[in-house]
Amino acid sequence: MREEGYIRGLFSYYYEKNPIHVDEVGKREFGFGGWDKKIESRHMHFSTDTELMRALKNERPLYVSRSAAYYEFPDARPMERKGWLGCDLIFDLDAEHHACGKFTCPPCLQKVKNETIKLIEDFLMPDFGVSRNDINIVFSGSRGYHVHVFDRAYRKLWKDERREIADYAGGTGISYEHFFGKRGKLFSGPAPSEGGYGGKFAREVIKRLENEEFASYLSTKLKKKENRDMFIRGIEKGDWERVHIAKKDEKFAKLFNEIVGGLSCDIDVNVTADISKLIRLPFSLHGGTGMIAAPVKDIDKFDPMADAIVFSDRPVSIRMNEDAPKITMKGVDYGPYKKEGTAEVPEHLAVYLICKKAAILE
Amino acid sequence: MDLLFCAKYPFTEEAKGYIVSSGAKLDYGIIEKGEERAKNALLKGKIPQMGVALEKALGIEIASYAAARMIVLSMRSRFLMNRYAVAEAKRASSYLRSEGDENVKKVGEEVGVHIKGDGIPVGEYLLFAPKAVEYKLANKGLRDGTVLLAKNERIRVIEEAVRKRIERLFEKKVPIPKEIEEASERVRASLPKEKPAERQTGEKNFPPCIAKLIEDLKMSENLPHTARWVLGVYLAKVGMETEAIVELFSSAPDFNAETTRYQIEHIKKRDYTMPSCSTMESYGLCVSNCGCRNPLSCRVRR
Repeated sequence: MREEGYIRGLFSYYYEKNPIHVDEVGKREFGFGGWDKKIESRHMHFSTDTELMRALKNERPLYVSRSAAYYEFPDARPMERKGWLGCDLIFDLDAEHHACGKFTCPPCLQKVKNETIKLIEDFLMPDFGVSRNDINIVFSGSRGYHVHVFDRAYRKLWKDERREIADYAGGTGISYEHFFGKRGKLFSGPAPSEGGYGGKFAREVIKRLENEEFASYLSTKLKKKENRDMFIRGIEKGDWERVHIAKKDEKFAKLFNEIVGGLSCDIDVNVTADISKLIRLPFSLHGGTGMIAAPVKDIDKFDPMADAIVFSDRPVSIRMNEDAPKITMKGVDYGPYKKEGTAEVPEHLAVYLICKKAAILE
Repeated sequence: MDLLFCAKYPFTEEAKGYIVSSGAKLDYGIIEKGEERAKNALLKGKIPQMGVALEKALGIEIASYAAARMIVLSMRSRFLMNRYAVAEAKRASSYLRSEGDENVKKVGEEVGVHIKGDGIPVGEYLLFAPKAVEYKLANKGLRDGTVLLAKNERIRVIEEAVRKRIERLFEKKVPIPKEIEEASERVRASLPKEKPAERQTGEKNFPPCIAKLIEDLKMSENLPHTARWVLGVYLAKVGMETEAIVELFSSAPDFNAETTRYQIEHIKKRDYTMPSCSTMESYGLCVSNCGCRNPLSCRVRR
């Protein structure tokens, strides 16, 4: 097919001009994908960056993945014979299940970005004690982010332990009864100074108590600032009943589930738990968009639809296979486009639409 | 060298150092003590604490551990090795409960648990925490890579680490002297005849979570309480005979037929509801995205 050859040619030329360096390249397993499948072949091994780049030039893959794991013999098969040495801790955050379809809308991209920031700033750094230097945030090249954690304390963990970490970040298996209950005469709960979900929950409740509507939902007595302050001083010591609250267990339990739902992260548990996962190679191109899966330094400022675009502004004529909504690239609005319509667009948009199989070369 | 410490925790490097430096030989008295230790562990699931703590008695106690381990090793059964490891770990844990922080810390370090203040580094915690809802990481205080725990919880984690350490020690094959082989034959003769090895449940349509539990059980894994309860409820609900369930549980390393029978009867009498899939997930027992709401309905559909 003409389009496939066109894209493969562009990718291969790009890699020739922009060689990729891979840390510990000899210990990683590689996989390549093509027009129909993201991974068509795997169990590949390259001793040096040069060997890898030669393969990219010759085979012109549309997707390049490498293992999150380190192996003694990355090309050995089956899995058990590879000599597993450890695995980076990885997280996959994706806007896939947000309902905007093939062309992810800006609010969805923003949402998944916020989830990524939350994972790092509210979980990995404060709770897991991971240093920012050991975290690599990589744009997936499409809609989401991959977070790679290189901290050696997590490298040797097996599947179940990783699933437990993912469950923690996702708030799975958390239960109200473990945080609240009678202790002697006291109705005890978490203090804001505590680590984990307990502390997060207490801090959030104290913050929300500034809102009068919220305070009076708990109890009308809390409308008074004086009572509110007393209530908060109690929470600070883990005492949740300085002010009497009717049906408190019921109310706190409901609040707990709601708040924890918001505090936790929307991540793909199976990716984190998979210790032989192939994940997109940082700095490689995504065959479904033509954008680069680049490490992100400042995620707050990162705009995938501008910063992950590598192809030129050279005009290319295309014909649409299907309707496409308005698309913003590098700050310029294009479209919307109608099925069967033709247009002359910059190369990076042509690549994007062709990779998404929404257009063909005219 | 702290001899009492070594006798309480004979699996430590310190105790090993003692054995080497004392030049203790596997004489008749030590083998006899070892045989008794192995029998207690394998038959009763429990190794009693020491009586008197005279120096000579302590030395024999330490050596009896080494002998018992060789006896169990030469029986070449994973089930028996795991059962032995559970009993040793429980014995260590019973001592730890009356220790000060310093010795708890010391034993922890020997088995790869580095206590920091009141906590345990999360990586180590994940390796050794029992798989039970109260140990689920999301329900714990986690800060700066350390999981905050009460003393009894720290000891429980160390107990698990001791068990795994002893199980792993069995992987190292050593030459077995004739006297040990003979002792091992005597211990084997004292065990109930029936071999708790592979057996079929005659039911292949279990949902993935239940199949996993049965598989783990057959591999003589030490399932946590919640997992056992869930499995018991499930099997009772699908109408399995009490004796068949008891037999299934017989590969648990700490199996006791009477206790199991009583508990299964109790489950049947109380007619507990089978936990839903979301509860199973929160127990950490859900293993697959099979799309059911309850393990019981999963079976019917399949």
